[in-house]
Amino acid sequence: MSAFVELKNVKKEYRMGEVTITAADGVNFEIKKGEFCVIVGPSGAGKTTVLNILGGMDSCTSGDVLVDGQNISRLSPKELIGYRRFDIGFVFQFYNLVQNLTAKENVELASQICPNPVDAAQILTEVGLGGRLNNFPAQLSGGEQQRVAIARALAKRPKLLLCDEPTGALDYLTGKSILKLLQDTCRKGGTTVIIITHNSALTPMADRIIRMKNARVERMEKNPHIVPVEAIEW
Amino acid sequence: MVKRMRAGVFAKDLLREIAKSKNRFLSIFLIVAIGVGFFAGLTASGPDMKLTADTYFARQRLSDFRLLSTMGFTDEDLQALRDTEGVRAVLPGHWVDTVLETGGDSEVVKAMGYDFDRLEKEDSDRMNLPVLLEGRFPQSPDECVVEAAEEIFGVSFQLGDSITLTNGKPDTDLTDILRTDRFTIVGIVQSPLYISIGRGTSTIGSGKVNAFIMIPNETFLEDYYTEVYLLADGVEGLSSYSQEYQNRIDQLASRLERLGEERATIRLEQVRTEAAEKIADAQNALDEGIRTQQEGLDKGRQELDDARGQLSQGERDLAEATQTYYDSIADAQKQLDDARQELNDGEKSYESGLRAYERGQDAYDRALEEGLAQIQSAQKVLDETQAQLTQGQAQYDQVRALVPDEGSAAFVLNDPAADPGQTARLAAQLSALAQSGAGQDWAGDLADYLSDPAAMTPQQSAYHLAVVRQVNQEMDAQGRQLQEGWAQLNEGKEQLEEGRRRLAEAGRQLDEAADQLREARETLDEGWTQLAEKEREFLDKKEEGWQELVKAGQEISDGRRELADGEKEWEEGKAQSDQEIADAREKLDKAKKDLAALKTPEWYVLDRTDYPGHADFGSDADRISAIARVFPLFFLLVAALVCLTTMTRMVEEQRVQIGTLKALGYRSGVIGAKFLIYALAATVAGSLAGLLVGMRLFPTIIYNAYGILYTMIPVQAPFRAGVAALSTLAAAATVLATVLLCCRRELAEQPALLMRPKAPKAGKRVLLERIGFLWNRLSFSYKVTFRNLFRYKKRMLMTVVGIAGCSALMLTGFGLYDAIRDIVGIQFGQLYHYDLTTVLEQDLSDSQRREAESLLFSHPQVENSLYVRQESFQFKGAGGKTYDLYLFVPENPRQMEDFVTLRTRKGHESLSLEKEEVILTEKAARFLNVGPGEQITITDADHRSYTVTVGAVAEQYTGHYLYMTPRAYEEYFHQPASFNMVQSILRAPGIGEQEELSRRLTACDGVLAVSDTMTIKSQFDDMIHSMTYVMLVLIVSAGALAFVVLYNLSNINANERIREIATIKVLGFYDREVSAYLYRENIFLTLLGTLAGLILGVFLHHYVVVTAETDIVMFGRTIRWMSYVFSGALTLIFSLLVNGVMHFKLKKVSMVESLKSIE
Repeated sequence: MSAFVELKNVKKEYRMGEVTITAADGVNFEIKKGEFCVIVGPSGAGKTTVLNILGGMDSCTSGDVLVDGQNISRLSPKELIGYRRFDIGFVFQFYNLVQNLTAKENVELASQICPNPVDAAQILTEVGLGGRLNNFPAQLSGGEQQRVAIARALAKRPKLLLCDEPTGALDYLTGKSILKLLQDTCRKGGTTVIIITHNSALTPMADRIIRMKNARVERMEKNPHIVPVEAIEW
Repeated sequence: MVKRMRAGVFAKDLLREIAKSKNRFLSIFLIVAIGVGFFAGLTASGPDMKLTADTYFARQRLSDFRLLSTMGFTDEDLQALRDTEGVRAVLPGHWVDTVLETGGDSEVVKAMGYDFDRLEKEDSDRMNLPVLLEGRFPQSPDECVVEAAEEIFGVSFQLGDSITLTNGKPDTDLTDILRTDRFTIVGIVQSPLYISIGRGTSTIGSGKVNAFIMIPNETFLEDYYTEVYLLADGVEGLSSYSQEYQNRIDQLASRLERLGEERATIRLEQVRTEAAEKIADAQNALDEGIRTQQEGLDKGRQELDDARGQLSQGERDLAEATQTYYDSIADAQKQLDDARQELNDGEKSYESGLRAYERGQDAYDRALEEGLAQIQSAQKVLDETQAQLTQGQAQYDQVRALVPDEGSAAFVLNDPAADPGQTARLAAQLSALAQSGAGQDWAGDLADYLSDPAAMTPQQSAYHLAVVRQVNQEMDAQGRQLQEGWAQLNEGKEQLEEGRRRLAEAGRQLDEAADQLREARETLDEGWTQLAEKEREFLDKKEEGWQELVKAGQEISDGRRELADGEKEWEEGKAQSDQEIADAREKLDKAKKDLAALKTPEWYVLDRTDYPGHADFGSDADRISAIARVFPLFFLLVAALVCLTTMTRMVEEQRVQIGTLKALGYRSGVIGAKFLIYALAATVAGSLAGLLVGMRLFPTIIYNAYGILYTMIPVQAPFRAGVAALSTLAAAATVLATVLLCCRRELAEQPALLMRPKAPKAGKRVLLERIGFLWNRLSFSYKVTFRNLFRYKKRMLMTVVGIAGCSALMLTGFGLYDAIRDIVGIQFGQLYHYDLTTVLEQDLSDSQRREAESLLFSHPQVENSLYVRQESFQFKGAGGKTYDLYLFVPENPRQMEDFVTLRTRKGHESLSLEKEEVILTEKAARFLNVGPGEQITITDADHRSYTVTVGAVAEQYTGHYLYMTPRAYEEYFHQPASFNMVQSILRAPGIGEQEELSRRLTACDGVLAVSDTMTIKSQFDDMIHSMTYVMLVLIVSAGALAFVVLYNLSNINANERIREIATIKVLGFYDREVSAYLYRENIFLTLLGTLAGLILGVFLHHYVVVTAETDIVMFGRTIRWMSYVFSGALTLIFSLLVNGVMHFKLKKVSMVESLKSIE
């Protein structure tokens, strides 16, 4: 099975005045389709940069980013939007829900621009919020909000679900349930899921673990012993 | 303990903040610049206009007072004025209203006297200095300077042109007042006395002064001054529009009025004396005139009588001459007849003589015949006798001759040889004798004898001698016989001769008688000839005499005619001089009556507010100030709103920093100072920029807009520190207040709380959602839009207010334009229907009237005409201000509606002049604060007041009119209305035909002026043009405001919701969709704001229109629907423009940055 996602020597430099910051310094890795991948590393290791590039939110300075055979580093801004629109689901640490929209509406925000979306109510039911469809984000707990965010990401039936510290703002139990939801999404829905976290404790639940440090991939390994989320403690 | 941030760090932070948030800084800067610029500019405009005027007035030393007196001013009056406290300078002058013919029109021209030499001398009494635009000032009495008259007369005067003025009043001559009526133009001036197009009223011509000219004072002949200009003390440096100035002027005015009363009595006495003297003089002149007339008439009478006497004598002479003529004719005739009679008598005796003669002749003839026969026979006998005698004689003589005498024969015979010759000759003689056959044979014998002398014998010789003797004797005997026969014959002859003589005698006697007859005949013929001659002479003389008589008769009848002519002339002369005397007497009587009726003269103390256009200019400036009070406040309000939102956003963004600083121990004041200083910096910079531009731009635009109406100097627009400080402070205070307002909450909070991100505003259901059927129908995007709209209520409100303000301003601007257009559109389109106004002379002669009427009522181009009386009046408004008003009396009120529509403005109910009797126009009614049934007082040019009851109030946009029926006129003015104007409606009023008609009309003798409605309309167009600028300023400013407000609010909106935007971008919204996500809100807010603005605009418009209209015009009150469309559309366009700019801004929003910021 060939790589579904492949980064080849990806470099990202930010020029802040006279100072050049290298956020990714020749990152190489590959992920196979349907894998649950965790990118782990300390703050400033460049994992968010990599995720942003992978999600089409940012562009790399050099190198190739291949997703399902498509080199997204060569896409025009408009093609990049299309890529985000049809291929990517994003889950943020702070959910980034539209406060003014109900849970259902937040999901619809994504589904309405998609050709073949999952019904908003259905997907919300699937993430366990069947009873809170018409609640505003402010009326939901953090975990519930993150579930809405995940539902919003999944409603588009993305090829790739990218999660940036999805549990960073959640308590332990809620975090676990979210991770469970993500793992289930991967396992049951066959969606390729990439999670970035600074918490190494999460690595056992992943199919593939990519460790980053100082803007480089320190190590990439396949997890031979996958542990269910429930079994992980941190 | 750190008490405050170090200045260096603080400043650095501030500068970085500004650099970082250029847009925000610029937003505040711009909105403050526009607000302050507009506020300061408009606020300064009014004062700048006044300052300009005051500068001009001061420079030209505009008089504070103009005094008029019904009897003029004397030198004593002037001295009294000089001595009056508070009078700085006194300038007496002359003026007279005259008529100037220009290209057909009669223009009323005010000729003002001026002491031009005062200008050079810098005399302290010099005032109202004319501004010389071209040429030079007059130097001699027949030179003048005119005003730039092109727009006034439509005729351009060139320097060096001559103009001739005439007197508008029929009974006086201009040269009674002026040295000359012909002037050479030497310069073109403007006068500070006339800053507007108004030149005041006049009692002549159309009742309105059209222009002035200035001529030297010495051109006037009057021995008194007709006006006096004064400069007041203690008002130097005061604005003539200020209350203080007016107060001082009013004080001095009352002093002057008191003085006027004093002087009036003196002047009255003086005038009385003068008039009495004049009357006495006139009386003398009249008496003298009467005497002269009588003398002249008497002399004429005498001459006529003489002529008549001569004529009678002539007639008598003629009669005599005629008699003489006839007598002499009869005499001559008688003489002629006598002569004829005589001749006839002569003729008769001649006849009888002739008959006697003829009888004698017959007798004679018979006697002659007898006698002649006797004579003839006697003659015959005699002749026979004579013939015998003659024969005998001849024979005898022959023989005798040959017969030799004895002596000779004896000689020869005696001696034949004695003389052989003689012998031969005797022999030849004897041979001839022998051969003569007379029987003388002897001779032969002798001859032969002799032939041979030798043979001769004395016997033979003696024989022969004897024979010879015998023969000789015989011969002698024969001779005697013959002698006897001759004697007898002679006797017979004698007798015959006697008979003959007797016959001849008888014949001669007859001839004599015949001669006598002939002579008588001749005498008679001569007599006849003479008679004929005499008759001819007589006829000639008769004819000649007749002719002479006829001629004499002719002369006499000529003389009669001449006499009759002379008589007539005399009568006429008498009638004329009688008339003259009567006129003189009448004048004298009038003068006497006038003297008797002489009222105390009155002084009119006019201050600057009475100068034409002066007060209007002040009102115009005040009007601008009034507009300046509303509009800029509006701008400041909007600016405050913008600042409020902007700064609120800024404070929100700086929450963490505020928290940090607080945590570090900084006091709230220090932290807040950053925001204050930031806002202040933007405000002050914006204010400065706005002030610099606005204070220059707005006064200039507005002043120049009014420049069409006023003639002055370029605008004086100094930097007004007061206004600048006020507007800057106002802006700063507003901004600071808003900053404090939004800082306060944040600064009061705990640092810990501040350092945490502010919880996003919770989503809420909006009211609309409860209306299920509506909400469910909305698309998802609209649901989002509506939620958002109601989520940010404050910003929504501000946006709506800002946009509403813009569209209200624009609507006001457009509405103002409509209002102005209505003046022309409604006034000339709906109310006025006539095309031509013809002003006629007051006292029109019948022929002049016929001539004018032939054009005005019968010209094919004219459809309808109406006689009208128009008179100029004034009325005092409820506010104390004086306004001009025209009294308008149509000859036939029923016809009125064809020419002028009278109706109410609201509801357009038509008003019937016939029914209402007196109709006042709307604005005048408003100034007077009266309605139907109420009384108003109007004052004429001679300051006589009349009180009139108003029947109805009619719609009118230009000028103030009082319409009145002739009946009402007679009732109020106690005299029938004499019509001095004709309004005409033209058929197909094409320019060419109209001009042609106008030209022909103005060429008429009695026509003073012709004005066509089209021209007046275009004049209004010009006037209105000035307001268009003001409108444009409003629209452009409103547009700028709209843009800044929308841009700023959109910007803030975008900044505040940047995460949301980034999120939807991450979700894969295309740029277009992202923009649309926000646009919908903007568009909705714009629509809402526009709607609100249009409603607000209606009220604003009403306020501005009422404030901005001038005294003589009323603006329209309705806004056209197109103006709503335009202002709405323009607002939307600005909104779209902002959206366009925002699109690019949104496109640039970085998802990574935006989402990261919170970490």
